[in-house]
Amino acid sequence: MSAGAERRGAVTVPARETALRAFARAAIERNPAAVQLLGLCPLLAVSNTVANAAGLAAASAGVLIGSSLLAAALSRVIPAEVRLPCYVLLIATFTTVAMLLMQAYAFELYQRIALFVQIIVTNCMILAHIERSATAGGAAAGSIVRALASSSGAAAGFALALLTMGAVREFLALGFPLAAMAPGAFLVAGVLLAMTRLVAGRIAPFRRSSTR
Amino acid sequence: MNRQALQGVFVTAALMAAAGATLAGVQRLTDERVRANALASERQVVRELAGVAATVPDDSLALCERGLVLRRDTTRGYGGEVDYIVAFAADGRIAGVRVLQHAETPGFADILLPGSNWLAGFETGEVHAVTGATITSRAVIDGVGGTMRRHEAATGACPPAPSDAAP
Repeated sequence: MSAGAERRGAVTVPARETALRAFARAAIERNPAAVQLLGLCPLLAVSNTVANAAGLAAASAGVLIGSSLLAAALSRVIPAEVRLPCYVLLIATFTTVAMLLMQAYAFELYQRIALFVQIIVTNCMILAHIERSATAGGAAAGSIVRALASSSGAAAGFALALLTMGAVREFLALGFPLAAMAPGAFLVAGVLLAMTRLVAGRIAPFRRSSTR
Repeated sequence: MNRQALQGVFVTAALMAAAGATLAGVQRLTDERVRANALASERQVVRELAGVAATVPDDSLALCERGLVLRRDTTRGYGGEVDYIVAFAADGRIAGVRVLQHAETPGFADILLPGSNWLAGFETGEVHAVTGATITSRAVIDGVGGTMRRHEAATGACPPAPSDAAP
């Protein structure tokens, strides 16, 4: 798996890329939810209100950025054989920290979305992002800066998707209660995805990197 | 073992130790607040069940004098323990049920939210298992039934305050 990711990473992520460009690429062109279709389980489940969506977005961002930075910093030290277990360990640690912090400072919100904060650890979007960003640049200079740029980009992209879904569903639920329920999540996600694809199909950069 | 494998073992072990230490530290730092939050939300539930707004008779003695007995209990749901409080009126009728904490699947656990029609059913005796949340709903029905039997068995003295009964 790591060999494949290495090859793929070397093709899609140019060695030299400005931090801003890396951020935009991770947030828009490779948007975790809309383009890569990753992390859809929490996206569909928690986007019934904006508050829930914001809570999960913040927790996911903390875990993603924190573990990406540590993974980038440790990429020279961690041998390829144990890379995956080490990353899972990093993500699990950050997820538990996020859970404890939410219980301490956002108790009511945590009570509502507890399970989906806990399963951030299994969000393949995060593991895929860390694996790619840590292997693509290798131990190249400035890889921590780029890890920060691309992971905050991915976090922002995921937050964008969550908040959009949350806003649309909470608004629609005023008139159609179905929108806040499970079938509404699929309907809204489907329509939003179709609209995103329609718009993205007309913009050049998306044609190259879509679905990757 | 070659050097590469040894490094892998060493790095993984070191990371585990660091992760464990970090978690222990964060747990220590947040523990007090988390407990306080849980207690505050439990007090809020007690307040609501007692039907008193901001002025709290936190001690169960005051509630008992008003003919209301609160009992905190636990039942085993689908995802873990479900903690709840049952308020009994003077005639032994259930005046209200509130869930304090649970680990049920979100969405399926909506029936446990305060203000849910399903929980309100306990007050009128109209509770049925819920399709899709069968285990959760049955667990709570059985649990509350057990609490009620224990309440009927225990006559006389008012029970200790629910918040003190917390483990």
